[in-house]
Amino acid sequence: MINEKELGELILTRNNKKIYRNDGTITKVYDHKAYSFSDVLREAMNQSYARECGFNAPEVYDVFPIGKDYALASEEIKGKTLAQLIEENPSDKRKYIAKLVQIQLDVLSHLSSNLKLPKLKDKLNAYISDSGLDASTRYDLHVRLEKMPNHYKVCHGDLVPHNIILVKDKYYILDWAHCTRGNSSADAAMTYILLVLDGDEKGAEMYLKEFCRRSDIAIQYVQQWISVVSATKLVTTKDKEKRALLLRNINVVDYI
Amino acid sequence: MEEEQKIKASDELSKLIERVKAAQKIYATYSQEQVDKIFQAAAIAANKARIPLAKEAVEETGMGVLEDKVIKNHFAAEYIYNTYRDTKTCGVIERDDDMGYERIAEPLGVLAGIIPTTNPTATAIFKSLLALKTRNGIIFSPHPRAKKCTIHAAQIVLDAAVEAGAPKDIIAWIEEPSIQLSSQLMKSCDCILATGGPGMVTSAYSSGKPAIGVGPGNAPTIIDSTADVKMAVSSIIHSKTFDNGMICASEQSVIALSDIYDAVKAEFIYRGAHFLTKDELNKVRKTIIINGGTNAKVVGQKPVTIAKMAGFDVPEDTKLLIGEVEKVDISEEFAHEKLCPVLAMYKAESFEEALNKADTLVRDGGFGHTADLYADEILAKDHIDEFADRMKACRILINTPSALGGIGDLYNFRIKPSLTLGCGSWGGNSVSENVGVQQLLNIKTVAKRRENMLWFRTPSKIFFKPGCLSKALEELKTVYDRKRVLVITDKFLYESGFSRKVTDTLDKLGIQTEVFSDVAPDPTLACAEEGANLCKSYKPDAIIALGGGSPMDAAKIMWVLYEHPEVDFSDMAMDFMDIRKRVVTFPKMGSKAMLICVPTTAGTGSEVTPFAIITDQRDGTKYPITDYELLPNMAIIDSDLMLTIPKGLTRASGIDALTHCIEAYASMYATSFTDALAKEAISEIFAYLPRAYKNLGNDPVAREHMAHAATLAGMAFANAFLGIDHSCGHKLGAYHHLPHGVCVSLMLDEVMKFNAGERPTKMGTFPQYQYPHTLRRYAEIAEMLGLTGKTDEEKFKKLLKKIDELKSEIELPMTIKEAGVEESKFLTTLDEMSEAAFNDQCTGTNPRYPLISEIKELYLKAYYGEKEYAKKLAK
Repeated sequence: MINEKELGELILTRNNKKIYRNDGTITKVYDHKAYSFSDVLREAMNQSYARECGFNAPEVYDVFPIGKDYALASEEIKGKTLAQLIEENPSDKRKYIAKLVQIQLDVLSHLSSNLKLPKLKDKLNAYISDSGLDASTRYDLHVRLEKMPNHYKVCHGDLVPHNIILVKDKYYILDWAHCTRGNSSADAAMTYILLVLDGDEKGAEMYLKEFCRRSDIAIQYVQQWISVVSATKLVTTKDKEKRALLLRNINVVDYI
Repeated sequence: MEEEQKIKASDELSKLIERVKAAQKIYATYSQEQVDKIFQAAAIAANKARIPLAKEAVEETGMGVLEDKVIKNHFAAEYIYNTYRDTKTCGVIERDDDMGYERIAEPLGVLAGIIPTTNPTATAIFKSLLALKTRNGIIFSPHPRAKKCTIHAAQIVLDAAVEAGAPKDIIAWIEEPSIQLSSQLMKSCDCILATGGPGMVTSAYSSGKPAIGVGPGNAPTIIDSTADVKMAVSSIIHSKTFDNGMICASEQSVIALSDIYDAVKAEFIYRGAHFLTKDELNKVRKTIIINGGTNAKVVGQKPVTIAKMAGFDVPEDTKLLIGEVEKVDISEEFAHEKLCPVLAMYKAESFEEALNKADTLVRDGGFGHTADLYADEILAKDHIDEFADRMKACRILINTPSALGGIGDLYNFRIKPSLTLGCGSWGGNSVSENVGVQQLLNIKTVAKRRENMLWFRTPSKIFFKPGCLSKALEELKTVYDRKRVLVITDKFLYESGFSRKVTDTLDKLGIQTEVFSDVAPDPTLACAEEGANLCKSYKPDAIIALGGGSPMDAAKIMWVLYEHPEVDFSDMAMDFMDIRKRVVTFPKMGSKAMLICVPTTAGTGSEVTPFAIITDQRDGTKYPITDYELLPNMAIIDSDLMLTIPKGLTRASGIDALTHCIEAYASMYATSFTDALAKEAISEIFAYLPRAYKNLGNDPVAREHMAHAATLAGMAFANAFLGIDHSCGHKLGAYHHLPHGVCVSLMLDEVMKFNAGERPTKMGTFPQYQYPHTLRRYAEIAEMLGLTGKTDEEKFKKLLKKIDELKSEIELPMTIKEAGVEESKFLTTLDEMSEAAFNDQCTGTNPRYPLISEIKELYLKAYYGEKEYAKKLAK
């Protein structure tokens, strides 16, 4: 049995995950209380599938149990994340946000009919059901989601500056756990809400405008999914203020 | 556990659907009387419960105004009942015995009724009543936020209906609504009646079942400079405050023209509206719209509540919150549908600008729903028309409170009352009207076979008898008072002095005459135009055509060009299936001149027919023109004018007349009126054509009989039309330059054999033509001629033999080959000719609808002779 100490230097602990670095390998250890073995396997599979699709994603080396937890070991990509770059060069933020949009549109331009990837709409429906919201609100959200077209674009589902590493003129995308097939506007709404939850409301607005400009998608078309994706983030958001923000987003109607 | 509950709920719904289906099956057998009784009882019960139901709705949803909800419930019960009380919805709803037409109404089956939170009880009453009136069952899927009051409303209607005799499960509902159950219901019902958010409507349309779903509104209201400002402002306040702005047809924005803007604003303030300050405006913007969606907390709330939520105070009795804004696109929160008493107000410098603004508002938020205009109906008629033209909205309301006007029957009494307002394809809906009983019925159309009305038309006067010409022409003076006559004839008749028989008579009567004698055989458009030019300068009030087919055809066309210089011949010549249904309407003739035809040959019958053929000399196109407007006004048959017809013309025109009779008799359009004429002419032709051919001018009796026979034949085919003998003959003549009479004679035997087939590949399409019977028709001709036989086939053979005997008696060629057409030339043109013949106007009335390949076969047989062709094939 491998000992956690063998995994190298602990570089980050968050959201029930511990991340170690050791000589070109990054190992993520998932707390068994929050993740099942199949969750970890799925992430490994998505990451491998992303590589098969031609995306730059770290190579998967191993998935293994460690104590009661599970670990995913993959290639270490050496470079700075987009988040780091933004932090270091705040005056270039607009440029980096544009880069994020360009990368996202790149990913979305891939279509996938591969059954390995779940459908975004199914995933969102499941999240709404498990959101803990009252029945009426869930009903409204499910109804709202019905309108979403069944597209088959590859949606990363968690595409934020933290998950992108720039290496010279190449970029790598990390963290494919939430990858699905679906509607690009919903994927953009997700990135938007993740930026907002990260406390960067200005950056979120900047991102949304840039995404709509570059993709030629009407802003209200992306906005209509904000309520739905907000609901999916309720379960993992504990912060009171952030929850209030999500609930405010959720509580909209489109009656006739 | 949760999964188990879901399955259980789904099973229960399946059982419920089965019960409603069973009830509906019984209800479908109810009579109109039974249904009307139930409809009335249900309407009364709903009406009586209007106040408690309104209270429940406000309590449960926390939205809207009790007193307004009472009006909605009242409206749903009383107005719906009143509008449809006498509407027939069961069984035969329309019957026209003369036309053999019947419409039978049947129910659709079980409806899925999707109910919104905004009108939970009124919509339930409305849909229940419509379902009961149309013998449909209905299962409601209420909104979870309004389930109790929706179910209670449905229960009240159901109880009353059952009490009045309806099956007990005819109305039902989902007790614990969920998205799974509503989608299961939508997939299992017969038709969905969806009122709800766009997601629900999309879901209804994608369920695979027929759906009547309606979309959101964003009604803009223009106040024109001519509007009655007081009436406009109070109407808008009345409508926008109704149920705190929750009706989908409610005004969302006001666009006032700049010259009355201040007056409108002052009146709004006077009547209790609050204009937002800049600061308040921004606060309200953030409160009502979140990420492009309406904040659920403001829906159906009072202005004072909304102001408080936004962080400022207004007096308790404030009617509306009005924001003066500029942008109409969706980046402006006030440009959205707001579902509460908050209104956007815009200033427009011109009506055009107002229209542009309103157009954008409709397109962005309420495509297909409703748009309003306040304007003076008389002074601003053009603005009203322009508004109706520009707005992509299915309800265009003028001087009407939008919310109350849109639901119908309150401010206009032709617009149907409804709580489900269609937005057409613009709103992604299947209906654009206010939904009523008409959308909830299957209409069966019973159509019984009926024969078409037929006709018999001839010139109003036909004068005949040898030597009648001058007597008949007198009528031009005595009856018609004509002053200027143009005589159309050919060179030969003019130069031989023949035409003087006409002009001299007219001179004596003191009628001025002019002669146009440049008509050549196969008259051209150029020739007709020349004649028409003469008409233009000479201005005749009568045109006399003197001669054979060519001068008569040319005269008809000159007549058209004279009366209607604007006509396009390619339009006039357009082929038709039924002369009454043709695409091009022939212009009315006779306003400038009347047409008199005086035939000098016995054959074409043109003096009594509505046909003319003209050739465009530029490309050789032949335009066959047909219309009863072309029928001459008078025909004068004077056989004395025919004594000098040469031999060739005597036989060619004589045999042409025979083919007219035979084709008219076999035509699908043949009637007893035309049969009598055709038969009489056939026996005359058999009796007198050989004599006329042999004796020529020495046998005036034979000439007289032939002259009359040709006109009788003309009247027969002027009404029964012809068949493919003429189709083939026309093209044979055109491609190989044989006289028309010879061509139709050459094709006749083969065409008759073809038509006599008892098992044709295809028979003609015409209600009067019941089954292939042409063999019998030919046998009738044989019987009339005294030819006997045991069977129709035998009689038919004898008829063919008799026709052949006649042909040889008058020395006509028996095959196309014999007529001198070179074989190689014939064969190279054959395919083109066959297709052209198929496309000839005469093909349409032939009793057997020919294939092009069959026409080709006919041509080949007629070329070689049947026996010779059989030998060739055998080789």
